[in-house]
Amino acid sequence: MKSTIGERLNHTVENLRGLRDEIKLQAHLAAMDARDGWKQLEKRLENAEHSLRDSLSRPRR
Amino acid sequence: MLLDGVLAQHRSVTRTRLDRALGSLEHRDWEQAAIHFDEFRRACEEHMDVEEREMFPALDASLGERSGTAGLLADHKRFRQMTAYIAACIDLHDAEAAAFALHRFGEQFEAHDMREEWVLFPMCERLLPPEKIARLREALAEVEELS
Repeated sequence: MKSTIGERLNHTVENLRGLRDEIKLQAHLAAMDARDGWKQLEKRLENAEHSLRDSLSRPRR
Repeated sequence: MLLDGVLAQHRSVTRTRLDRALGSLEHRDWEQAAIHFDEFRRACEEHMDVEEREMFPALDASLGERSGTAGLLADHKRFRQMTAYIAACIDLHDAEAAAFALHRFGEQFEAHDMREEWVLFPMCERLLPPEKIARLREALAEVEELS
């Protein structure tokens, strides 16, 4: 049976709504991952700075 | 298996809690949605906490990197991010986004549970001492009491 234009439009709108909600969710998760990655990077940078300072403050032979 | 009963209870109670939250969202009953989702979220959190406390360290100690707990921990992290998002959607009264994410969460949580049920729990029963299994069973059962 052929679907009417209205039914097809409804279907398209439903699909777009699903896509919108999917993108919203994925954007939120990506933002959280980015925040975690940033925290890890800052921690590693801090450690590297400590190591550098330690090695520079040690008397050279 | 010793843990079969408690796992079946976990599946059924999780589904009931999820359906309650989805039902409230469908009716745009924000107060009930917040209450039901909070119950669901807390139970999932407690279930994951029990696994992370009672099960994963024991398996890691026994099998090292082969235990497979790293992937499950990554799933747990993702679930916690998703529940935070769903709670925020409910606070903002965004029913469509909350329901979409809750459906997605339900699918992923179920797939995760299946992996645990078929791989991790049988591994526990083979490797862990009976008293440890009994403690795990008791802790999991406590979480699954439906209010």
